[in-house]
Amino acid sequence: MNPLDDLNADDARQSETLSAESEQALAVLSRCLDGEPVEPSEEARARSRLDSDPALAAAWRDMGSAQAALAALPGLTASAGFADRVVAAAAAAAPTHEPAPILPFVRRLAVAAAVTLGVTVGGGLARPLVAAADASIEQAWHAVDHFRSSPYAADDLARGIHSLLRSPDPTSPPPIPDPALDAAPAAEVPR
Amino acid sequence: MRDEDIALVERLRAGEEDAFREFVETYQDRIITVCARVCGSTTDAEDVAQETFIKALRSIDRFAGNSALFTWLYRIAVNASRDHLAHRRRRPAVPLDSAGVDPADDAAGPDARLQTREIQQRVRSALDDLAEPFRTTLVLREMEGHTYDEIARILDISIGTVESRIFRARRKLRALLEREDPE
Repeated sequence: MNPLDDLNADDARQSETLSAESEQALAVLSRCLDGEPVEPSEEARARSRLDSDPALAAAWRDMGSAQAALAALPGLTASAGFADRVVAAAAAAAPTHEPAPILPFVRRLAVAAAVTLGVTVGGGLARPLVAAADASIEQAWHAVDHFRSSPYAADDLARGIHSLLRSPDPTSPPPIPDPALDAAPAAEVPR
Repeated sequence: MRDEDIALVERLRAGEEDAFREFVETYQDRIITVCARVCGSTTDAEDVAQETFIKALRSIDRFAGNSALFTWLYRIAVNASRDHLAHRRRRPAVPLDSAGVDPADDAAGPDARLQTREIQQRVRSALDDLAEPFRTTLVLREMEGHTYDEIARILDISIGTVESRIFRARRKLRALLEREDPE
């Protein structure tokens, strides 16, 4: 059950014993009891009603006695060493000033910069290689066209490829000798 | 805000440990009391009060000075107590006077002390039976002596709501006291 339901039921019960005007007067008197500002005319009206309505007078007495009972409850005192414990707990709970939260950010920033640089430089370096590969492909297509147009071009193409395989890298193993190619007459090599 | 509070806030912001100790010692009894009354138990009142002071220290830079320092501190205490209440719903509460933190009235005789304790127990029990918003409002008014305006600031509600809650809580409290003591 909602605790407010109980309170609402109490309100309803009390409203049965007090008229609406007396309810209003009781609220005004309650504010007076707390020293809150109340219009003098409003207070005078409430006090006048207090004299004429016994139910209101009883409710007002009850309210005063409840207030007195609460006010009479003693306050509590802190146990010995409470302040020391709080100061120690605050010191223990104080945040440390490590640069920990900054490090991951710096690390992420460095990684992002490295990736960007890598892509930029890598792209720049790769461009001449791609151009060279394009040129080689174009030369190869010329060779194929030449092969198609001349019966001697086949030997020419094979010799060219062989020489390419033999010459560029001094560290590579020597090519396997091909007697057929080595024996070919120099005059058959097209200019 | 009072001049002493302005100076204290500046020292707290500067991180002075002595300032924090002074801050705690100035308000500790009132904060422990309000935490105990709102929670309905003294068992955890000091823990909640400690949490209140540490939260206040952590957020002292955000204290704008629009209200009194104690009003701001009470607001933190009430919120911490409410959080504690919500957390405690799963486990039983220890009655308010069982921890025996209340100062005893040494001047009175044993009979008078017993009678006073019985009355106080009835009032506490009736107070605990009030719904939390009404209990908190009434505690701030009757036991802490705050004005409606201060309570409105502490609880972040309108003055009209404060007035209505106090009025209804008083009537309900009286009904609860009558139920416990039909004579």
